[in-house]
Amino acid sequence: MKNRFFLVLAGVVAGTVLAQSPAGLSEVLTQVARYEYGHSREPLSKLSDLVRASLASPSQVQAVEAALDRLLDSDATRDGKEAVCRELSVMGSERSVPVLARLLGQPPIAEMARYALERIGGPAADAALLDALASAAGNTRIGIVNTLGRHRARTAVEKLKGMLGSPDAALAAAAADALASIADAPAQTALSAALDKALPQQRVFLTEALLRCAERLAETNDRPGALAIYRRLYQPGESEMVRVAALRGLGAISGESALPVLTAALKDGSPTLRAAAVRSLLAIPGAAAMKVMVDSMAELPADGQVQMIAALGDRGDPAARPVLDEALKSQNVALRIEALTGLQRLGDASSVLPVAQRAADTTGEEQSAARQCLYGLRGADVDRAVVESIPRAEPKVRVELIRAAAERNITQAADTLLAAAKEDDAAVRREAIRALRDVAGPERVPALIGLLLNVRGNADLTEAQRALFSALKRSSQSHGPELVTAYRSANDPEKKSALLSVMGQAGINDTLPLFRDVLKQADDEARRAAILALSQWPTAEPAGDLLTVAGQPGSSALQILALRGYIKLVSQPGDRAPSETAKMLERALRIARQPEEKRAILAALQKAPSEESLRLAREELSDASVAQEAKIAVAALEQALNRK
Amino acid sequence: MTTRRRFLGGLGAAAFPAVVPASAVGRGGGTAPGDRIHVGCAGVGWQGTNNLKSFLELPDARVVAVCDVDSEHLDAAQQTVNDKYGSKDCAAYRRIEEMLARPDIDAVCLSLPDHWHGLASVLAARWGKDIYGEKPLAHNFAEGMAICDAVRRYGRVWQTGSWQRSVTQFRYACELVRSGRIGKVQRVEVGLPGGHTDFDGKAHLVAPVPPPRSLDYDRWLGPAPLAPYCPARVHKTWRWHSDYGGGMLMDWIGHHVDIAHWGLGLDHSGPFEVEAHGEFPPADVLWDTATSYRVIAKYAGGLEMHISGGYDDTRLGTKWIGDGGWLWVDRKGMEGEPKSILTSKIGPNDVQLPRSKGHPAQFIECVRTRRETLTPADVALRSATPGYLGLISMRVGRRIRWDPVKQEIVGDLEAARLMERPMRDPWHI
Repeated sequence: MKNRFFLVLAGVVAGTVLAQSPAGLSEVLTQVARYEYGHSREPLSKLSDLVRASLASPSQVQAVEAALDRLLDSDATRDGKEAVCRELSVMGSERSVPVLARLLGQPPIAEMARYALERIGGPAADAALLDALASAAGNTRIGIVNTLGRHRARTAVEKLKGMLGSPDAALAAAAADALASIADAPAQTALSAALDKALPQQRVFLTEALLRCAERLAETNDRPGALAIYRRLYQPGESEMVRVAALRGLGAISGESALPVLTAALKDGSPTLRAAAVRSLLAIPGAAAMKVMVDSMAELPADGQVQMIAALGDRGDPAARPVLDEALKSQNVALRIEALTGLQRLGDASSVLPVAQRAADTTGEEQSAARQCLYGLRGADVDRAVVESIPRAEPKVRVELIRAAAERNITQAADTLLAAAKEDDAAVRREAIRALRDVAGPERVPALIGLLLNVRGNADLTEAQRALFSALKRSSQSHGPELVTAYRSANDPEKKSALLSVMGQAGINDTLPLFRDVLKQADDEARRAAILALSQWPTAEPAGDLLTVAGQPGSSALQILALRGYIKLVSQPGDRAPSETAKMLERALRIARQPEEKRAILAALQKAPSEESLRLAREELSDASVAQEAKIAVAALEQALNRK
Repeated sequence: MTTRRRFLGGLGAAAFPAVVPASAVGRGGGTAPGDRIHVGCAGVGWQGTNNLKSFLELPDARVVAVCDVDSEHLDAAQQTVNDKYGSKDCAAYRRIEEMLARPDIDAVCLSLPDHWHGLASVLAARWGKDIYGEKPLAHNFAEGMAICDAVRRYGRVWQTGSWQRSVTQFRYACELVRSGRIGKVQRVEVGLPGGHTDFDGKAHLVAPVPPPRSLDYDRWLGPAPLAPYCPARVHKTWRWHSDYGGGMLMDWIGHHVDIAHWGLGLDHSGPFEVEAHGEFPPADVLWDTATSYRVIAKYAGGLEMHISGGYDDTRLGTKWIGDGGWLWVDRKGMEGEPKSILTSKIGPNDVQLPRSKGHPAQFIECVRTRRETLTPADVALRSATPGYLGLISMRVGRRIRWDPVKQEIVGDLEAARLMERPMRDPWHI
């Protein structure tokens, strides 16, 4: 009677649990129980979905967990059980510990059982893992040790202690690692004691473990405990990397108190220890640490000096300035480069000339560093120092200063640069004109027009054009009348062409009457310059003018040029409807004589997909000289139109 | 450190000016053969070969060893190195511990599958090697943290393979944003690739078969759960399986999210909340990471980062949207509004970010100066964190709250468990 009662009760409980299980769970688990690698992952995927959906409801989670536990206790496939262990690792609780613990003793599935236990954690899991430790062997045993370490299981310290001297080096190392994770007083004591009598091959993992313990102590504000470990591990006789870590630890927690040991490391340490000391000093604030860094420079070997200068630059303390200035005079190029990097941050107006001189006198990496420094120096006075130095410096230094004025966008330099743009020294002149491109504002347009009309040589002329164009772009006025007046007053054909080119690039509509005048002239060179300039217009405004020239009798070279210009303008992106663009391109097609022009038109038609474009492209299929391009255009247009 | 370093140190104390050839300290042009940084390259398959070739081009470095668990990769890489130098000096190792134990190797380049990043990096740091490591920093957050701890403990120089920081347009874009050219940024959109690229056409090769003799498969698996070998599992396509990688999201997070953070000055910060949704491939393929995904990460100050991949509306790259304009940058270029910002000069009073002559070159330079690189380990962890949290959000099906100061998940036991992945025995970190 009693048994029947309990059976019924169990059934009710089970029924209640099943009743809360997500729908479909039973069916999915049946499939999971048969899963093998290489088969469809669908049951596993469905299981993951069900688990995920259940996470929002504690009662569902319980029900699912119970069902997963039952599968683990069944004769399901190993692969199926592994999948279940993965799910339990996310949603399992101490309710699953017993079944997982049983699996720890079954090597094929033990690995994934531990996987789940590692994520589940908690006292019950730790107890199960400790129990299993006694009978586990080989890698399984090591895995359990690792998991106890991840759990920081203090209850495991006694057992782990006993493994530190194991002849199985991997086990001993795992035990040390686990004790380092636990890092309570007994664990630290055990590790220290083991280190006292360790063989050389054991010191590797024991010292690492103690370093980690020291870090934990430091995190919990137990400075004395951490210091004791670091001091011990910094002793000569330990491996270099252990000493580096110990030194870094000493520096990190001792602050200025570590200065003596860091100073000694700078002086007497290996290159590796010295490098560690340098970076540790960087992290210690205050004048005392700064003094050590500065005072040590003279005694350091070359590579140490480079590292120290780099650290001083990074530190950003103005007290480093004299050292950086001195390093700039060194014969050691690496040192000079690092000094320049540091000066970018710490330099000021007084750095301008020396750094500019350095940029002028060097090449390669050092020159790049010097220029970068000059461009990046901060402070209100720096710009003024640059501008004031330009007239006074020797030519090659002036070139560097002028570059800096451009890079720094020193608009106050415009007058100085306009003066320099007229100098005899070609390099200075060219650099000044180039810099005006960045520095000259719209108010300088008249001066820049004057500059263009008076420059010497083609190279300067090109730069003057660019400078004028940049200023015009920034201006809200058109400056058309000034430009037209300048054109008409110029005698030099090249200067006239240059002005036209600028007007064209800038797209100044009120200069179009001038262009139309020029296009009517008998001078082919002037007409050519006008056509080229109109072809650079930023909008299609002068397209009609170009088409008119293209359709005229006369020099075929100019016609071709004009037609190409027309096609280019019409092809520019704009607000025009594709069908309208197509009509404009049709006008070009009717007068095109060369295959090159037709090809350009066919390419342009592809960017303006419309029925008209398609019709025009199809027409050209019959022209053997462009049939291939027409075919491509037709295909592209058909596709574009079908997509629409 | 190398005996060459000790030699340099032994040149003796030198006050200014010290007459030392530029080549002796590796700057200013030529580097004497004996003064080059010795590099070992571990993982010399696909990306690893690209990295190897980059190091071979550096005048200040010399590759002296290669290491791989696949002897075909190993032999090919060894030959590449020897051909480059016209010698037979390059050593080849199947086990990384043997390569790391060489005292004459100063630095290593680790181009391994994600699930090996943690172990190899921590080992390398213990052995005193400076490290060029691939992104994402690690397979999971906990291993990433272990890497940061080891690098800090041993004072190692670390460079992450987030090489876009060494490319001018990315740096310039970040300088523009940080200098306020688009005003206060409220939203950043990061577009990453989607799908599972079927490199070498082996998506269908999922039936368990014996591994090839050239591959030490057990070692290849390393700390990942035991699973039978099939070609679809390894070499290039491992990144599509959650036991080894994190799909396209984690494969690319170290590029465009890294740039997003850099442009916002968030290298040492993170979101406070992440929510993600993903679409996954049919269950009859081996690869189980999301092929399309959306991750929304929320940061202090009202900033939102929207990361997406695999959708038609995804545009690759990083786009910052501010109250004064927007700026988009990708490997192909930059776009922005107002257009004037695209030619705006970065002046001395703007935010100026470090210039680099190339990512591996910058790493070698930092090996000498001991300066922090453009992409140190802790920054790489921050870049990857929105991705880790995104994966966890997809797995548990809910929003994740994150404490960016403590770097912990808040109030979510199941999610917090997924911050780490138990290692297969006997591996531990």
